[in-house]
Amino acid sequence: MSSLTIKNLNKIYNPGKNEVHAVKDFNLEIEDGEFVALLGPSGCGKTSTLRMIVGLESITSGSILFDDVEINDFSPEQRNVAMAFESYALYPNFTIFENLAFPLEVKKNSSSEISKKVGEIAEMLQITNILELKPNQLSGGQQQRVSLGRALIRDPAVFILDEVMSHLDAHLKFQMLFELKKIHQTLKKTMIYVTHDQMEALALSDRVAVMANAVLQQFGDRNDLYHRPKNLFVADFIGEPATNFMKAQYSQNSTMKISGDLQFSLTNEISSELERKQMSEAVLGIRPQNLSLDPIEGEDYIQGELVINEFLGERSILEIKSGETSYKVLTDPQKNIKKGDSLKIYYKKENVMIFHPETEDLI
Amino acid sequence: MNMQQTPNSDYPEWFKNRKSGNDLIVSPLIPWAMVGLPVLVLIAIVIYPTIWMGYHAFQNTNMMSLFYNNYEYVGWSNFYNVITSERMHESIYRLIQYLIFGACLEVLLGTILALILYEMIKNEFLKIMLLILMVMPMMLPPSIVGVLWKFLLQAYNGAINHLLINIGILDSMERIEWLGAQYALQSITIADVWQWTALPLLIVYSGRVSLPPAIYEAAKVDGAPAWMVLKRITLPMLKEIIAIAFIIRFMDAYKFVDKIYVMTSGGPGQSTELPVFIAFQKGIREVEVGEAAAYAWLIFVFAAVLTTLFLKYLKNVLKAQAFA
Ligand SMILES: Nc1ncnc2c1ncn2[C@@H]1O[C@H](COP(=O)(O)OP(=O)(O)O)[C@@H](O)[C@H]1O
Ligand SMILES: [Mg+2]
Repeated sequence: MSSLTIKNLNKIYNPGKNEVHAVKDFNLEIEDGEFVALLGPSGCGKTSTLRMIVGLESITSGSILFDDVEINDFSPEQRNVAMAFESYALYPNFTIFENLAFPLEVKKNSSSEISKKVGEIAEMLQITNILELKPNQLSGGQQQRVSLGRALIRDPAVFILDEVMSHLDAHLKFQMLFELKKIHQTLKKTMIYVTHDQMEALALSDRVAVMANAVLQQFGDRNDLYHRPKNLFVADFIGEPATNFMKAQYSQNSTMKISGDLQFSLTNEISSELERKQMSEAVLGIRPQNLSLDPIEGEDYIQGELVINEFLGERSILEIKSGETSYKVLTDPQKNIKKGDSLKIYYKKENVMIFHPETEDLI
Repeated sequence: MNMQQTPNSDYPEWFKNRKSGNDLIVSPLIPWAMVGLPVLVLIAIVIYPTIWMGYHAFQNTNMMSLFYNNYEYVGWSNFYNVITSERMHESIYRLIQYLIFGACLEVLLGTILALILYEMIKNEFLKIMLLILMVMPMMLPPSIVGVLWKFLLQAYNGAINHLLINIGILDSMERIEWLGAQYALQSITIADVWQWTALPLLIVYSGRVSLPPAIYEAAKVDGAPAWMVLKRITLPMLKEIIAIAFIIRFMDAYKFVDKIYVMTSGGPGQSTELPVFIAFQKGIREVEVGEAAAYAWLIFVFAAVLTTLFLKYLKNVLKAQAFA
């Protein structure tokens, strides 16, 4: 068991020529037993960060601490972390059973203990029927589960799981996420779960670290990310369907003008902040979930014309056009409106997010 | 460009003479001529001698009878003579010795050196330099290597004995007769190992390079000690590659004549003769054509059987690794 602190971590590949700055001034504090997801688009430096934590990649600068002990110079073995690799990294000459058993064999567990533990983990990951096969006889999804199992079978200080569900189909992924959550609740071990899928990240973790372009954008729980995104990237990346963004001008009476008649009212805090900074231009963001056809949802409204009514079973996504600006609204299934209808769309002032046009930070 | 279209032509555009626009059709004799000449050469230098050899294996042909053309059919007696001859038995025993101390040692040393080079030398430049250095002997012609080692191993002026005296292993008057009857075979084997260890080294090294690095990282994270990784992961995965290196050296061992010829000519006495060398000696030196032909047949059949088995093994390996 271990808390994990990362201070000013940097990773530069090939310093000098063809330099790649893969991780930039990364700071993170993970509590003991916490389940943290590292979320970000592919290529943003997630794997590089993990590999430095595990000890497979040298640290360019900065430090990593387990329980306040700096482990920069520790070997992977000394760090005692379990890792499931993005590329599976199964031993090709071993059967699945042997693959799962290997970490225990290294730790000199007795063979009866090994078969018991392998049996349990195989049961949980639904791979009992393939224990005698070799890795190259398995599908990607099966190999991925074996690789996850090989990490989970251990008893490390920290679990590190790199994109361990990316090749599972939706149904199986759901079951595995559930199992993983259960394991975490039983073991109460620190876990870092890397993914580019926000659904996985939000479903599992206590807190999510959102990363983009080698930089940590925001570290917080679901609510923070959803309601108080630090910047435009987070607001855009978190939430499905994506947030509506519009270029806006501030006009004196606490409103943001978009174009034509389209304008949003702002809360007093935001408008006074804008006035203080003397900003006239900004980017306005509002989530499709926070727009509604129902007046109970908010006292302010905008008006627009329905362009597309995309019916998704339990909900509808409406595409609306006001003048030249179009945006999406997520509502209950709507059957009685059709293309061309003029609609009143309600929102709450608090849900209007304003971002700085250059720094893209939330105001 | 000449875009003139020939009507009713079944041939594509490129199948035309650029200048005249005619189809590039040649006389039906030309293919025969082109294939025929190499076939004739093949018949002259391979097929005819082989048939001739097959025929003479059953005749009592030797220099005199060949000259007077009065050899006669003797049935299987040539084969019988070969199989029962002491000279053959001893040479087979020597071949086995050579296989164990030559081919096996080469593969063993090659494997060890390849793994040391890959795992322990971290400096890329040094690694490549060492690799080139170790591969160098292989680039010399075997006969030259033979001459080189013959000089090095001379009892009185050879560098090896001098070295042993200088470091105090031998007394100043003592000499080891490296090319004498007692050690000659071992000396030839040393020269061969010196030259050919690089081949298994290269094969095993390239095999090791192609193993996925990710599994070694996984083993590191799992905390497996180096010897365990070697025993459980590296060696089992290189098993087939090492076997292939051995097969290549093994097949070479049959035609091992060059260094023997240069260093000892099979001597002193017949103490360094291997089966192929005897066939060569009998046929070319002693002109015992009948018996030499029988030797050649036996070696051929034995080599063919073993090679077939090896190739079968190779095919299974490739299948297991999903290449075929
Ligand atoms: N060994 C390496 N050498 C050079 N560049 C690398 C190496 N590994 C990763 N990178 C680069 O670093 C960046 C981050 O990669 P990575 O950490 O694998 O991203 P992620 O896991 O988020 O997809 C990418 O631009 C990638 O090309
Ligand atoms: Mg990655």
